[in-house]
Amino acid sequence: MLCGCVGLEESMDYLIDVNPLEGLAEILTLDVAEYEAGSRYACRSFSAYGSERQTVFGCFQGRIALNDNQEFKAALYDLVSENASKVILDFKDVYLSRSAVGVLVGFAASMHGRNKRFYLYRPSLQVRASLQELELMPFFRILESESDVIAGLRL
Amino acid sequence: MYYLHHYFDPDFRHTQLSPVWEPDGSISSRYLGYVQNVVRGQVLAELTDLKFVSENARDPRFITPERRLPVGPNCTVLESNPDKIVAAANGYVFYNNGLISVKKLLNIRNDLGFHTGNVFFVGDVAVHGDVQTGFALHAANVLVKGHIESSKVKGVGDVVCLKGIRGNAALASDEDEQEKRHSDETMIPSTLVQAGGNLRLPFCEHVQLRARGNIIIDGSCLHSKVYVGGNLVVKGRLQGGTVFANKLIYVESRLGSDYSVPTRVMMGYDAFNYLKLQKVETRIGYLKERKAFFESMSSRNEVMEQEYADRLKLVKLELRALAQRHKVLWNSFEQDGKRASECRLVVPGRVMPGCEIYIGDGYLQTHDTDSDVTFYLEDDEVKMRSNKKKS
Repeated sequence: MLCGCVGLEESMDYLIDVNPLEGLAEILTLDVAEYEAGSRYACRSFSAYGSERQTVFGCFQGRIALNDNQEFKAALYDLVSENASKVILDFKDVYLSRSAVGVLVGFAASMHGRNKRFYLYRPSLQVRASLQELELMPFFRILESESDVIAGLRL
Repeated sequence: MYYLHHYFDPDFRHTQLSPVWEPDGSISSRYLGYVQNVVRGQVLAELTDLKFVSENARDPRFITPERRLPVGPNCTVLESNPDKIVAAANGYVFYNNGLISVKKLLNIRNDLGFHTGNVFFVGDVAVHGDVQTGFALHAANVLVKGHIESSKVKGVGDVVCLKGIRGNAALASDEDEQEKRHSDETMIPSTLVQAGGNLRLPFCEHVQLRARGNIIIDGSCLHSKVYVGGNLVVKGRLQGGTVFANKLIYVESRLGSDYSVPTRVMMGYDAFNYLKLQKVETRIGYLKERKAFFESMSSRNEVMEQEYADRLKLVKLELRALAQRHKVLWNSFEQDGKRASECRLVVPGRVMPGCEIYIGDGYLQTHDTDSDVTFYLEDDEVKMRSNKKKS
């Protein structure tokens, strides 16, 4: 069941039509009829997320710099609060500063500590370049296609 | 007056950790946040004018009359902004003699267990004790001076264990079943030691070893599953379990056992493609079961059909994707097969009856006890030749 979703708009139609997860929209909206309007998370400027079948999707967009770190961190840890076993972050349109990469590493450590799975879905070229330059790529699991994401869902 | 604003916890003490409350009210005893990871280029602290810091946010310890940054080892001042301290290396940050320092090697002076929690570190880790049952470690290079008990240890580079690895036989045999049930996300199924580079250990029993490089086992390898990208050297016995390798396997003492425990050696194909294929096939099997279940439920009535329609759609989508992946993997197997003739299994010691040896498309089961032999592929058949020099 789609437990909740965050968008800048209140309307559920907005979520269906312009879901920032794009390719994932079909999957996310499959259960949209069961969407509970009450289960809405705090809204953050650069994130939108939904959860389904014990998998939480987080979608981040834009430049995340040092000043955004607190908010970025809070948004990431909000995802864990959904008590899901897997977290998938869509980083297609994200620019991460080094400090934001540090926050991401901290989040990965927290997920590892809790025995939860954590994936990056189609990270942007800048994110890939940063992770590669820092020799962190092997610490992250990357999902390149939608079928990888589907495989992550508990059926 | 100036104020030093920290982007990490300056009061962090790894000796004073407490379990973390989970959102559902439970306590996570396996995640204690043992280490504060930082990456190269990450801003650690910033010097600001005191007047810009609100009074209730001020910590008197970090108010300084001088414009001086406490820059320690592996830290540097940001060129574009001399008021910021950044990490110069991946590692963990801490205060050392009043200076902000980053250390690339994490020493865990005791066991990795309930007082450390699971550890994820972007640098190298040396565990001076054991890695206790049920815990996990993920780091760049790993040295474990004690034992690794039923736990999960992953190294991006090399992994070395000085005392040996022993898994839980019951858990190891349950692994396939767990994967089928798709319920292994939140638990560690069995002992897994994985290295992106080389792996060295004195002995192992009931574990799964994976290494992209070479594996050297100074003693015996018992009832374990081994995936190796490079060469495998076992100085003791290779007894029970399955080995997937694509280059050279050298078993010094003995291959197989007296008690008819099956020992399988599979060569000629990329070991990690084998692993992927096994996962894909397990998942396909699981999904087919789910599909049959959803279809039977949907056929009951309209309400049930509506209830299960979306899940059925997802199952079909995934099955289609997996079928495609399965095909790609098989194609890669065909290409790998051309190199099968270069694979060698060298056993200077004894080869016991009942060993199953697969090289490429060839297969051979040993029926007698032999010694000092080499197995290789010739004309699509696995052949055995003696290494003894004729007198």
